[in-house]
Amino acid sequence: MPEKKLTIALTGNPNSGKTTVFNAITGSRQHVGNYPGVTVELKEGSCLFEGYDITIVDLPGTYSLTAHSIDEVVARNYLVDENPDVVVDVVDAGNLERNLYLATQLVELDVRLVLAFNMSDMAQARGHKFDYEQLSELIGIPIVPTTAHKGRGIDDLLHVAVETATKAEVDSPSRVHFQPDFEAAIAGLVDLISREHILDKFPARWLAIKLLEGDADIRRTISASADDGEHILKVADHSVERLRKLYRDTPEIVIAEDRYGFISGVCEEGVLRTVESRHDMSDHIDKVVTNRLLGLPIFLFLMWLVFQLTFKLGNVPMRLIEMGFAWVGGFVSAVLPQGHLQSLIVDGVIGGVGGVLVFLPSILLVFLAIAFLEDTGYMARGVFIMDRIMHTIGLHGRSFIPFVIGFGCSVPAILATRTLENRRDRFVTILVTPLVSCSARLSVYVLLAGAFFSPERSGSVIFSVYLIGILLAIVVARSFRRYLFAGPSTPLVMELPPYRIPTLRSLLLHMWIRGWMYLKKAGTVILGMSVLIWILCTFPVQPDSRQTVATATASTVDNGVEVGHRATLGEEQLRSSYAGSIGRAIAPVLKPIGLGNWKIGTALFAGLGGKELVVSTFGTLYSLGDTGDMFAKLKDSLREDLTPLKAYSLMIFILIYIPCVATVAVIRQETNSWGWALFAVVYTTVLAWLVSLAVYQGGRLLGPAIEQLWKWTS
Amino acid sequence: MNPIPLSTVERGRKVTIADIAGGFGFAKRLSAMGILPGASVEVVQGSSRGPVVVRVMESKVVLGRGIARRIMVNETE
Repeated sequence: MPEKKLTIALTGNPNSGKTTVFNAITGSRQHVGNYPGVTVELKEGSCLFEGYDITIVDLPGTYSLTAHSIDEVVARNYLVDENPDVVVDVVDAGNLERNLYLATQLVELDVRLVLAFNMSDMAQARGHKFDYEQLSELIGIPIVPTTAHKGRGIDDLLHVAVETATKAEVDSPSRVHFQPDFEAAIAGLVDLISREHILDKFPARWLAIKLLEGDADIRRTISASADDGEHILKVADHSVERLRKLYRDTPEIVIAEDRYGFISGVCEEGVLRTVESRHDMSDHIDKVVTNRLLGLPIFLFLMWLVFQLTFKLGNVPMRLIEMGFAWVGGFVSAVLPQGHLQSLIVDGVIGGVGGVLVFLPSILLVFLAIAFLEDTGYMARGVFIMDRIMHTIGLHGRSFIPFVIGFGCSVPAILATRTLENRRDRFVTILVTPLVSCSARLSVYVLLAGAFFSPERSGSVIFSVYLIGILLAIVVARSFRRYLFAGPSTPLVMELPPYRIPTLRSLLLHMWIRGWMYLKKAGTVILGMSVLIWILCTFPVQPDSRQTVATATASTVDNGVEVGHRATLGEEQLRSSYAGSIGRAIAPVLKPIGLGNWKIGTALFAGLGGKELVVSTFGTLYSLGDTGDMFAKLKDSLREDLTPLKAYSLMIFILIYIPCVATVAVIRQETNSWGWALFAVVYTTVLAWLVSLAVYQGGRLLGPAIEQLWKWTS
Repeated sequence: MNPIPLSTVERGRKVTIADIAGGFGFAKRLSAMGILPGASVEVVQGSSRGPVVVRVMESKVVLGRGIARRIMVNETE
């Protein structure tokens, strides 16, 4: 049976429920990719309906189709280049006039259009009554009411979409007619444009309107491809100037006014508003939450709550996973014969990867909390509250979202910078995000703080490290913004959506998407690095030891004298391995900051794969197979090589130095340049060294004074 | 009556947009949100130094300080 295929493109305002419609139609048959050459997500899905194999493309949510943001350019280029069979514009029925603004522009693009009046239940509850037939007739576009999060109206929508896509001829929708002077100017430009066949893929009228609006992207296209391009642009400029003088406002504003005038006329006929009251639950909540005095404290409290919950709740599954890996390690050791293969699997793979997966519960909880904040609508309020503070750093209010995510893992945090339109803001945010201590670094702090400070103190010590990280992030962000990326910031224009109770499904979906990135990082990069590090630790093999790290480990629980001897052999093996050589090579550089020990050098090198590997490498280096239940022994061993001051210096160094390989890869991807990725690597390491230097040497100088302080505060 | 900057309007007041001063291309972003000359807007949270929240059409929009200073309005109440 020949397959009938169709493509449906979904457009709509952000917060209109477009993605819910997409999910309702495609279920799990969707995947995310990238539009070629840009960092905008391309979401595609499929479904079977009425005998058609339908591909659905979820275009980025936009308020209009100008050339200002990359989302809008991507959306309109898709519509012009790919020519979907039908476009479904998802409209928030409770916010009709503004949502229809996009629809008027879609009409100008000459696409086959269907409107989905989504969230119609909420609109009706607020007192709106829609005469769908009347409206549909007035604008000449089919309308289907839907309530996507309840799954209502989706089948009707698909039916109408398929019908519209396959009809031989579709009624033209009503166009917005502009003022006579404008229409005359448009007609003149259309005439010139129609002579350029290279521009045939664009509707001529649309191009003319865009020229009057001063659209930079269209101007570039025309100047580059049309034979008579320069002439067309000159005519356009002339018209714009003339119209500006006539109307006192720029043509783009007059055009916008005319569009809204049209919309307003339509709504007046087709929409009945029965209830006048406009203050609803969202407003009442906002009175408290965005309050001048209460807003920031509430926000900080919520952030604190998020971290408390995630780490406390995450503890139980963490222990379980720890035990699980220890068990698997034991099982494999028993089953496989001793030797390199066993060691590779037990020490390399299970030790390395296990160290990462132990943190998965906490990380998933962080992402779940963030998904909750986003889906309820609170994040937008957070951006509003943080905007003023971000401004003093020189960043955009939206920059704080990547920072918050960065507390979990830098990889999804940097991907979240896509919401920043301004290239300067985005780059600075990307470069500074690694300074916000991720959960991987936390594993090292926990180990070191636990080993060198009393239980009452270690919490504050770790907190102080985080605080230093945040302060550094502020200082670095400010300097970068001022000296490296000087220029105006994008002014904040952002909608505060009504508060919503999120569905469990969407929360889990959002949590999973980001958690999956962390898992991929664990599965690929860290696995690879763990194996690499195992190789570097095991080779070259010492002739007389002929032992692997595992046997050295096993022997530590054996006969007393043998233990000492074999343990030393194990260490000797490590010392002369490649890893050890690297550690020894770095040691002199680390000496001024108190870390001139080859084991530390090696562990720091391992941190390139992921900061969790610092812990597992310490475990390996201090002759212990897996650190699962051997934390106590590890701490004892560490105490032989480090002092509390050195440990603190090490924590600071780890806070700042090179982001892990996965993060560097994402930085390269999002900045589209190896140069900036390299810069991130270099500046963080140099900064780490300098700050650790200050901490260590300063600590030594002030030694006695600090000891006194210590005594006073205990 | 001379238009005043939106950033100087108190909470709860309703105003009509008179003019949007300055370039930087944000006029298009504002008009996509429904903020353009002639539109009627209610100040939900005013601020002279920080971002301002207004209700326009059926939604609430945050406007950064730089923008709120450049939007000139006339009070309508």
